[in-house]
Amino acid sequence: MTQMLPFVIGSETYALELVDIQEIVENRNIYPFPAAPEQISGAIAFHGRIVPVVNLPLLLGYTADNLCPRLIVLANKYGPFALAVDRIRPLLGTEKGFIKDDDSALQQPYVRGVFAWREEVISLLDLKYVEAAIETACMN
Amino acid sequence: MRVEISYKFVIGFIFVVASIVLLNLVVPRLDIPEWTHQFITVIGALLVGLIFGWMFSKAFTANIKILTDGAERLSHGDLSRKVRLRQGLFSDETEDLSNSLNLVVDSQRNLVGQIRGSSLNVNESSMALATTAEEMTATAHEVAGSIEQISRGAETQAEMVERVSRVVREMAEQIEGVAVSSGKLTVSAEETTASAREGEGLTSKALENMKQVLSQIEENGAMIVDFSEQVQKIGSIIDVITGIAQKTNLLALNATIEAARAGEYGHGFAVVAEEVSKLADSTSNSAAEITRLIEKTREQSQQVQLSMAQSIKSIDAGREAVDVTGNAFKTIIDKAEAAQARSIDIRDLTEKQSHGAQAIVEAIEEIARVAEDNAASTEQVSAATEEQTASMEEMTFASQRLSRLAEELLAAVRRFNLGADQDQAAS
Repeated sequence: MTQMLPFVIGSETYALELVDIQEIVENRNIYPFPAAPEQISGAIAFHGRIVPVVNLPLLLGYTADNLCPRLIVLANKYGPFALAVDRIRPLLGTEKGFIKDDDSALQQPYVRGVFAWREEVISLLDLKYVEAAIETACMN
Repeated sequence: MRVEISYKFVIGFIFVVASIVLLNLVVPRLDIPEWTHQFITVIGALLVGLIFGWMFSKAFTANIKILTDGAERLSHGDLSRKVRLRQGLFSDETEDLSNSLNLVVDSQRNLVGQIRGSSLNVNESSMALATTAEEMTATAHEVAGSIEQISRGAETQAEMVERVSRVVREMAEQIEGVAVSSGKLTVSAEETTASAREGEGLTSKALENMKQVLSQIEENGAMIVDFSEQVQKIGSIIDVITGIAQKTNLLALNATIEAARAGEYGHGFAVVAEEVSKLADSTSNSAAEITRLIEKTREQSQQVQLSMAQSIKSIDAGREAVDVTGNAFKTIIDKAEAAQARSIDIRDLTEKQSHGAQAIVEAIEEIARVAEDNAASTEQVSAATEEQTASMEEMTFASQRLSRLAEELLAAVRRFNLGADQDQAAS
């Protein structure tokens, strides 16, 4: 069984595997980087470390100006950095077999797979794509 | 010298006897034969007797003829001449007779003349009278026509007066009706005044009640404002609780993540974290419920405040309306009092009118009586005029008859010949 953390951006629900997450914090006291791209909101102080904050909606191409009150601090193998999202939903556990990896079903490049959960379809966010997107944004 | 006829006869006889004696004396002296003496004497006596007799008889018969002629003329009505006897030497009874006859002629002449004049006058007068009577008859006819017209007029007048009387009586009844209505009007005006006074009292009471309600509503409004403030405070407390619940939730989430990271060892911790998260969720839900309730309460209190403001406005409007109503009641009272006064005036006036109409009715009845009397009098006058007309016609007839009689009389006396002067005088 895999535990998932679903979160909401706009009207879409995405999910991350719990193993990729270190902690969830409130979005406050963000210190913006000078000359940073707009996808990089700034940095926070996280247990004595400086962790950059990525505005995930902007990164994924959402144009709406979201408040993004929650930050998902990812585990050490990805950075570390924090993803700002609109809303966190309660944890949920799903079997691996329920996740579909069929490429034809994926509409977006940042979706790794989809699974059904209580009459709704939740997209599994591809963190590698997110990483690459951050690198691309920072290179520009 | 007057000698009566008998004496004249005696004198004649004496003359005859004397002539015979004289002859008897004279004849023998004549120289004539004896035997002739007797003869001559007889002849002489006869001659003397004849001469005397002829003379006497002539004298007598002449006068008597004159008298007879006069009497004859008189009997024929010829009064133009008097009887004139030949003037003899000796007058006798024939002269008396002629005098008497002349007296008769004179007196008859006067009488006839007078009769003739009088009958002419009578004729003329009766003619005039007849004319006058005819004129009077015509006038009487005219008068009769006029009186008939007057009679018809009087009848029309009587009818008109009857009609007028009827109309005036109806008018009087109507005025009586108006008087009754105005009396009712007075009563209803009094009732209106009383009702309006009652209404005014009720209005002032309603105004007082409204003021009380208004003050109570204002108090209630203040209380509700207080209540809203308290609710607001509860809301802020609930906000704090909600924040704590969210933080707890976040902590529980992180604890769950940490427990997942710890793997098999963190399982019990994960269960606790899940319980904490559930508690935080239920706290959060309750807080949200409370917030919703507070929101609802706030909305309701706002609605209550709004409705109170509305009520205050309505009460103000109501107060104004009640004020207006009170004023209206005052106006109504004034008007009703004025109406009462006027209706009393009207009542008095209609009573006066009613009396006046009664007087008019009486007067018209008097007029009707007079008109009836007039009609009766006119009929009487008409009858009298007809009688008068009849009398006039009779009078005309009578005067015509009189005229005829006068003419007859004139014709009767016309055969008396009075001579030219007398005729002229008579005519």
